[in-house]
Amino acid sequence: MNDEDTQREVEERFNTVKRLYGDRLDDRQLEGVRTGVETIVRASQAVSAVRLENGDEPFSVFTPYREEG
Amino acid sequence: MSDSLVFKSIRQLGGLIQAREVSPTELAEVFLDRLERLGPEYNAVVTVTRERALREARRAEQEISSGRYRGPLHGIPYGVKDLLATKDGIPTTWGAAPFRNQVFDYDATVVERLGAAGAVLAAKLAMVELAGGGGYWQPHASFTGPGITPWDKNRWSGGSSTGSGAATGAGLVPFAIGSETGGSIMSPSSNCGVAGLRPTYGRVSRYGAMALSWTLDKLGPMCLTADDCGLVLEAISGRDPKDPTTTRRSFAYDDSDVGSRRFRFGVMENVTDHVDEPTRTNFERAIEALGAVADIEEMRFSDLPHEEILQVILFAEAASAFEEIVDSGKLAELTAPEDRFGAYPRVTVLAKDYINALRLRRLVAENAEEAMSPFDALVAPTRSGVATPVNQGFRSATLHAGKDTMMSLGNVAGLPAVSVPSGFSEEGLPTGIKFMGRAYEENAILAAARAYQSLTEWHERHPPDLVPVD
Repeated sequence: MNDEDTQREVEERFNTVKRLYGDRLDDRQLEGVRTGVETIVRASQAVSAVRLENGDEPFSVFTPYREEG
Repeated sequence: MSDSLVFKSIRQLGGLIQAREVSPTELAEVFLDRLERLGPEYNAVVTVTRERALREARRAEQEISSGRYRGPLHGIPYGVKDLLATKDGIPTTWGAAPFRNQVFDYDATVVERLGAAGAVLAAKLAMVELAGGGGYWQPHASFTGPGITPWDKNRWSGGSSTGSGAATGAGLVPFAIGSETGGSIMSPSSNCGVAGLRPTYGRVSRYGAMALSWTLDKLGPMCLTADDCGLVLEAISGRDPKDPTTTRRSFAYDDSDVGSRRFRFGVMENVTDHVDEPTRTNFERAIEALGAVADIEEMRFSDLPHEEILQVILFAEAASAFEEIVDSGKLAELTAPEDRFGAYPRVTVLAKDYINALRLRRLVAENAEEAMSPFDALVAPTRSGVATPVNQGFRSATLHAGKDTMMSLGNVAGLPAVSVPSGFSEEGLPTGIKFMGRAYEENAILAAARAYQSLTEWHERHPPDLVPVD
């Protein structure tokens, strides 16, 4: 993803936050939100850049529940 | 006698109690007085639990008098980070103004277990609001004020376990419980010059602890020595049906003499690239000292985005854990301006990115296990620098801009680490060295840290103006 695509992604996600919570945030806080969204987008890109095989499962195993004892 | 009880280790105090040279009530009074008198100077304390402490101390005294000695924690006062639930009407504030009157009707499992070991709850200790869940980037991020290191009133204690570090380092309690999601035990341990143990994920029950990130949160002891960390870990660890992530692997502290043991340590390549001068110098001296008891080799981890994996997992889980707080608008009442909006962006983490981070987590854990298997422990500076000024944004400090692979990898993979003091800067600020081990190898890293502490005397130094004069 080039930088232009990254900024478009940031803007789209930022607008989601603004739509949900914008009425309670001032302009300075919204700028902080935009920076936070960019951190998330860039972290997500770094995670997605690592090739995973189809069989690479999440490291969290669901275990059906039975009461102990 | 009472003044000389301060800055004694748990093992030393336990010996005095067992020999009936000091009573739990006398001990409680000494530390309650220090908590009340000195705690505010370091913004270290939220609530001094005087009534409960004296009740528990009297009970300990009666039991010991009648020959029922429970072990090395019996009659020892302690404090807990104020994210652990406590009953008896004692507030559990999570360090956050909106929750300053929050009360639970039960004790967290860790508090229950320490009670069963005979320890005496003396204080709920200050912390960064919501354990840093707002994304704070400077120390003024708690309704009790910024945490201050006992070594310099103009410097930060480290966080988010601010009070646990400061209270232990200032001799306000013999030990404390902190929590770590992404560095919150290691950081204050280093800044406050104390020993701090981050146990393996699942080693200690989090039942009754505020959740920030369910798959990253861990509770651990902060003490004056690595040996004390082992004593406390044995008391608080173990399976808890109330926390399904707790392991069935039991932990028995192996405190056997390390005198003749030779260790094998790894040092991650380029580990000092982004650390400040005193931290680098003290680390190099520590490596030199450790050469007397260990073979030390350079090693490297696989090239994975450890920090980004940590961020995605933490942000996604925190978005869920704090959803109610975010939606309620309570963030606006937090102390740090950046915490009033820092949680909002997290609603944009995509489910597939979170799942991908969890898939990568397995690779991180497997690679770490392979890379670390030849070693008893990896050794590294605990933090990239000494305590920053209390009025400075620590993420803007250029010396501290490098990625902390050991921190992010260790927390993503849930690996144990113990930090102990490694020396001081010219300004008298402590630095730390950490020993990180393979999963469930707390005994190995504690043995390594004990060996280091047997070679050095940094842990025997305490802030001069806080050492009582007999």
